Amino acid sequence: MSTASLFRNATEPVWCDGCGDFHVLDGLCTAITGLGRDPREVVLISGIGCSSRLPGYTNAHGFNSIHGRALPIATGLKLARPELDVIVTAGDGDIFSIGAAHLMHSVRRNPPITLFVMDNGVYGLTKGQQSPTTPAGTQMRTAAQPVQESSVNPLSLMLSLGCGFIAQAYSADQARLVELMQQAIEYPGFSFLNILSPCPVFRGGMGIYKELRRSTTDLQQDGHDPQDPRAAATLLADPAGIPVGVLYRR
Amino acid sequence: MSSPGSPPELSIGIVGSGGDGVVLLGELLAQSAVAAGLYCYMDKVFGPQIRGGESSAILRISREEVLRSADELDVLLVLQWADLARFSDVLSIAGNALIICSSEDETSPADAGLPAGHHGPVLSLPLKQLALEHGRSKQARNMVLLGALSGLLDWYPEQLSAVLERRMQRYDERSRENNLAAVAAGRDALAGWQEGPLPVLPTADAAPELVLASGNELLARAALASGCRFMAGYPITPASEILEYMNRRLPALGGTCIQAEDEIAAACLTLGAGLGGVRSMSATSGPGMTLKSETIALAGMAGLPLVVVDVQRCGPSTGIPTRTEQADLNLALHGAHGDSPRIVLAAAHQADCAELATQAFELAGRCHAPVILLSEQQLAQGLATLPAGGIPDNTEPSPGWPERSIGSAVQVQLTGLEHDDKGRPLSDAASHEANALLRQARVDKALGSVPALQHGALEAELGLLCWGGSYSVSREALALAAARGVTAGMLCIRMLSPLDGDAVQAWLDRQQSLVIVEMNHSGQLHDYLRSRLDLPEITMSLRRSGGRPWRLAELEEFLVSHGLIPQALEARS
Ligand SMILES: Cc1ncc(C[n+]2csc(CCOP(=O)(O)OP(=O)(O)O)c2C)c(N)n1
Ligand code: SF4
Ligand SMILES: [Mg+2]
Repeated sequence: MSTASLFRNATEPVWCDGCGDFHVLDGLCTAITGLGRDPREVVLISGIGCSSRLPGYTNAHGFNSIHGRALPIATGLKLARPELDVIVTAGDGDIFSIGAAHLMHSVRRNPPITLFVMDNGVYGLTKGQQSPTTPAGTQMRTAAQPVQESSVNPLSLMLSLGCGFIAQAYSADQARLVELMQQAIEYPGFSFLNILSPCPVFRGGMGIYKELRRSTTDLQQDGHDPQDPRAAATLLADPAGIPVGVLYRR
Repeated sequence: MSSPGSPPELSIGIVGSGGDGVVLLGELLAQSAVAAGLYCYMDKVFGPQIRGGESSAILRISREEVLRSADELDVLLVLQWADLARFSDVLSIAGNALIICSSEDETSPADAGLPAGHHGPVLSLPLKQLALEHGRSKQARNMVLLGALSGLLDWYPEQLSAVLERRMQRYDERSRENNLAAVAAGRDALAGWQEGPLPVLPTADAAPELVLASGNELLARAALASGCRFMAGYPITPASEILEYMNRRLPALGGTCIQAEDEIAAACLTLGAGLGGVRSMSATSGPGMTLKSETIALAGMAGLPLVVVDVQRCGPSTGIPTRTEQADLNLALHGAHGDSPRIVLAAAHQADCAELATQAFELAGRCHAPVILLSEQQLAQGLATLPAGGIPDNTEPSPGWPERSIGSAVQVQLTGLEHDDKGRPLSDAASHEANALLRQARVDKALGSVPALQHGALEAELGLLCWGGSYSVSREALALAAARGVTAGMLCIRMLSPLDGDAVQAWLDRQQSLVIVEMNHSGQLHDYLRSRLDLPEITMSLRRSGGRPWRLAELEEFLVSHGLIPQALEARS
């Protein structure tokens, strides 16, 4: 994608072959370039994890900080420099586990920043431990028995917290990913996009792509009205598949 | 102005429960004395509960500058005897002290811990009854006491009525009248009492323009004057007043103040604002400091300015949240993983809280490194007297921290991973070593910029070395030693990292014997200096845990018992 090359730098990512995060990086480059942003007006803040290496592969400003703390750092920066586009790119462990408290309070403070969670349902960097989004019953490589705890549903969580923009994308569906990223970036408050971004090495092998393609359903094709919080709640209570698209927008 | 018989100083203690208005009563007394040109120091010592517990104010009014409260009380005002017991370790009552208390109290003075040897006047009056009758509220007991004391001692009448009047402006007409009536009732209740000798008030020779301020207020004001326009914090005793002050002031200056969800977020918000070029700080106490340590290490690794204030209290864990201690030196110096150099400053007294806050912002910006500023409950909440012009008040536009800020045409890539100068991750041992050197060099740029406070003889038989709030008592011990014919000197180290080893060593080499004074159990400064410098052969560590301010008598006893100063003459006879 030639337009995206403005945003992408020459560094070779450390990610494994087949990692979903490649698609996220591509999608982000396309989305930002498509919005006509100068890379120097964009700051990517991440935590620690495979996913959090993303800022270093771009020509934007970046800060690969510490595990779980990307949101408060990004908020402090945005308050100091409102003219910058501040985007958090982080992992599911980063955001829903070690940094979970910051998620709730970021929603409350509602700074106009964007959160992209690269949700692979596993701790990639530390080699395959369960994450808060790993479904119960999953047998992890490193564990003696299947996951006992129930998993967090990021969409329900964000809806209950009262987040103003809640969406989900699937990393391999580039066109839709780019569209949703752009909507999230343009949203005037705190916006949340959960990106299903597989880790074939530690969760489900390459077969997970096929599985996700089969089980995702597009909310907007299904006629879901994102302005209606009750419809969002109903849909989450009885999902037809894994929803992709804008669940809720205030 | 000064009458020939004016004593050098007077010390007053007030005890009561939370909500009794102990601190307000203390402030009114202190402010009126200061308005009369006297120096005043006021400790606020609270019971272990942060709210609703016992509280006490300890004032020392003096013709000369004072930086701590006195060892013994000349006057004790008691709202409730039961509360005195909580402060028996803090308040030492002179044998001839004047005591004013309530006649309606169920606890007897002896049960509350009034020493048997006390032989001064004990004047009791129906505080509650007078408060209800004239002040229309039990709450006005402090005003009755104020009236009783001020009438009896003729307490700076002009200044007291001016101070009272200013204070009463906050109240509505009715409460104003009630309060003033309670003051008058107290005054009348003891009018004409002449049955014994009373303490005499010190009076000033000149009337310098003086003001009272706490270390927390001074620190916050200096931060604003240094261009701080962002603060994030999480409430914690005894640092909360900084957050509250900044919260009141920052919005009007175009700044931002955030109460974060926890201290980790507070540190990260502060770091993020600094990354954007805005001068920022966070303030906390020990437990919060522990939570911030990962972010402090990140600032060091990424080369970002970060100012963190630690107002120390008794630890470990929740400890005694309301009481003073100096036991976070190790945490400030070393509290992070890896080799994590940082600049560590420690304020020696209230005005120093302001001076070092100013330095902290300058150094963080110049060195691109974390700066930890240590304060202590005693300095933070206690009030000291300063020249009227001594309070920083500049609110010029902030210069910011532009040097490393994000968002210019030059791409900034930062990371907590070991990295090259473009922020690209590295993992070879040689670069790691080279970068460790670089991080230390950033901090070392601060070397020598905050000199130690040095007093007394340079070449001394006895050298006193201290840090932080042990400064004031050490200075008095210095004067005591000199008065007993010992050549003594002292040094108070204010920049603990980077340590100006050469300067401190040069001073140490001229001391025949050395006493290191600090308020912690383990001797943290002693161990730190011993690991880095050559201490004199005769070196002693005078240390104890916190929980109460130093008394001069503690230092005296130590110095006498170790043969470092002779006993007082009268003690010999
Ligand atoms: C305070 C702290 N605890 C633990 C770690 C180790 N650690 C690094 S990344 C990670 C989890 C990564 O999982 P996730 O956030 O989902 O990112 P992913 O690698 O899956 O993209 C952990 C536990 C750390 N770096 N810091
Ligand atoms: S371990 Fe998983 S998440 Fe990490 S790079 Fe490899 S595939 Fe991606
Ligand atoms: Mg993950």
